[in-house]
Amino acid sequence: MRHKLWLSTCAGAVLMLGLVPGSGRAASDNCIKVLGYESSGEKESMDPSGMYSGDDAYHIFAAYNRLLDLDNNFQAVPELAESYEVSADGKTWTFHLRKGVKFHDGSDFDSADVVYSFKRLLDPQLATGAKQVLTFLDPDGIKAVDPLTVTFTTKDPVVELPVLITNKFTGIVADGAKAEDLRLHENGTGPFVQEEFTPGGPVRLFKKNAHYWKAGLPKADCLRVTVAQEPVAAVSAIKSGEVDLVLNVDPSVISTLKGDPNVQLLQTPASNSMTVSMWTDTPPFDDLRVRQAMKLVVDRQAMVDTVLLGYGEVGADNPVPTGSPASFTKQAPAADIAKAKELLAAAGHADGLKIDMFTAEGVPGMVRMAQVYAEMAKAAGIEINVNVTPAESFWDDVWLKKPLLTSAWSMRPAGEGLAYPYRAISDVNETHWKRQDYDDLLTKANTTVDAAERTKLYQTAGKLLADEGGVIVPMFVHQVLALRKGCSGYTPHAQNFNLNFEDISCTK
Amino acid sequence: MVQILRLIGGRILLSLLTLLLVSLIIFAAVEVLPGDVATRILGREATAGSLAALRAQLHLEDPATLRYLRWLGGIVRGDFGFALTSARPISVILAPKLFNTLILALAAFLLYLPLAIIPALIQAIRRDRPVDHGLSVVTLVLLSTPDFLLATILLFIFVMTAGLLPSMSIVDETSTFTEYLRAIALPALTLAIVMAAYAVRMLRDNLIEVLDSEYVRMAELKGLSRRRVLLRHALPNALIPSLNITALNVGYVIGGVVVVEKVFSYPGLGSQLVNALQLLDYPLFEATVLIAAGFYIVANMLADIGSILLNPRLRSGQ
Repeated sequence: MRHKLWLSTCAGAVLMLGLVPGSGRAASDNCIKVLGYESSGEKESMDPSGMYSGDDAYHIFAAYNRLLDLDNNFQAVPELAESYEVSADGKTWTFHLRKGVKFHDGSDFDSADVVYSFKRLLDPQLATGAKQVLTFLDPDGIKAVDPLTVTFTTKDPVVELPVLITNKFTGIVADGAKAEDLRLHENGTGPFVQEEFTPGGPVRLFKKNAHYWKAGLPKADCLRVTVAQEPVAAVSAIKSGEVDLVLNVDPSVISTLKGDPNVQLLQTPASNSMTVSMWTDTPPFDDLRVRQAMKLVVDRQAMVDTVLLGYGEVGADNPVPTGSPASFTKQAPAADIAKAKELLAAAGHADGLKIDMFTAEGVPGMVRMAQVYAEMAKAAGIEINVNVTPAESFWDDVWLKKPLLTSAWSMRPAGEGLAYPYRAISDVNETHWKRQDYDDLLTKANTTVDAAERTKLYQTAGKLLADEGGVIVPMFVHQVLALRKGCSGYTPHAQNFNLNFEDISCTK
Repeated sequence: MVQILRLIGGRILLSLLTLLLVSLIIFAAVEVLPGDVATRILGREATAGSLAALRAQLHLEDPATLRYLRWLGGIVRGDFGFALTSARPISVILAPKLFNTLILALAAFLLYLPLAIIPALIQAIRRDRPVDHGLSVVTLVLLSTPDFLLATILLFIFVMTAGLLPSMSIVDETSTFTEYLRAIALPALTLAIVMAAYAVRMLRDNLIEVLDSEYVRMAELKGLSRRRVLLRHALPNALIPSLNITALNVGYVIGGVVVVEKVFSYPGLGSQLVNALQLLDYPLFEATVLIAAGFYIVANMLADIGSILLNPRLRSGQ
């Protein structure tokens, strides 16, 4: 009796292995298959206001549109608004909305939806990260003039308003939509319509929005998003043709895809900065010479090559990439150990300096950056003790609480990037940089309508931060994506949540 | 009979007590974890005002004892409550994940039995021959291979080189039986190999001991076929001591699925556990751990009851 049981067990085992090739992609062959890398599981939400991490963008940016979109230079381009203008005093912005746009439930899109969408984000009852980035908006200042015109009136001129309201939270929802409904079911105007979505679910399935306002788009009939957090699984998925687009290829596996004729590697422009941040009001960093020495020890290109394996670009100690028109310099500073030693000696640290640095793999590469930095600093007599803390609690327990740590920031428009963590009043002032002259430059830029004049102010502020501030920005990360051969029409964006699946199409 | 029932009843009561203790430990452990769920939900750039509003909404300001009792009371009534992050009922969230993990564990155990028994039998029969030494080396190597490495190697062999199986084990309610089989093949094989590597060594030694015993020699002298001696007389007796290692293996599976499910992107309880902890969604996390602990405790209880029933000394008490 018992050996019969074995036989059936063995037979079951063979069956279990299911060694029958070719039946894996039966159900959804006409779908564009996108593979993501982030997973926030149960926190995933279909509600644009609940945008928490990158993986919410996989579905929200498929289903929703915003008033405007940003190009790779952070210039606003039309989306649901066809055009906009600002009043002479810079306080009132008028947006002219696109006609004939429909929500996925069939209702018409008009100004009431825009007003509702923005007022909702400012509602204190709604749990959203949007309030922090929309502080300049007053709910009473958002008005529908007629069904196709909306005005935003602010107390003070906000010259970058079109760019600032084009953030990840501002997908336009229908007038009256409730948070508890939006969490699980979208009702947007975007290129794809939700078929299947569950927080933490394994598959997000969308079908083409047949009534999309961009004629002929989206090109794909259907969109299927899955997530693999294991880099090896992502590599084998694209190599075997199970997926068409991998949204982030981990640096550790790039080399295995590099020579593959069936895979095309794409690169984003600078998608986030990596920083070493010092408290400018705490010894030894309260001495400008120490801060300058800390900046001079970095061999930036070597850092890009070792930490990012070449997939990045060097930075110039301020949040604006050197390629941007708003950058004060086209060139990142070179390492100068002799000068660094000289500055340290002048600051009274001729015998060297011993300091603690805190880091965590909160953003990929941060720990490696800290270690490489410590090695580079050694040459100038700065001995850095690198403390690696758990990634899960780094942003809660370590960040903003230690005088020297690594950090990272996703890309923002120049004005916002310079202001957000570096103004005196900032909640996230990770370098304790409090300079009236710096804040004044940004305040002035905020009210300067002339674009060239404004750019000049950003450059001056960037230079001040680079010369005297407490932040070292040795490099910017370029994210690497993989596109299967036979697919085309996908353009990676600098803001990694800004995903556009409208143009992607594949031949089988 | 009464004696056995009393023994079993005692074991069940003890298991329930253990479960209660586990619930307390889980809750206490989560309480002392650093970090704040409101920050996890709103992101690191949220304003103090919206954080406070959310904390009040989630009753995070209530004393810990009150929250523990409220939670425990719910569970006793069969209500796990709602996840903090999505406000969905926890039973709805966990049901499909639990189903997936159970299927995976079941498949792993089905694979585990032949993978453990067949090599052990071969080794016991061919004791001290090259094949015995060879298999010992293989099991030792597998024993010292971490499961994530083994999973990656299998992924490399079956997916990247042979192209036989999908690289991501993605299944949901709509998946067919064949899709399930293909999805769980590699994760189940990984778990089975790791478990078997532990069991083979023990089973081999037990078998050898039994084969040397006098009743086996007696059976051989009686003229029974070698096959009958092995399968009818030696193996059942060698299996009993291995029951406990199998129960311990249940414990391994609970931990192992966390790693294996992540490598193969399999939507089960393991990945759910990691996610709930990262989000500090404590009701969801606690429910997941409690269910996992429940399975472990029940498996051990069943193993105990199994050995009570199989033990002739206790059986003769009837």
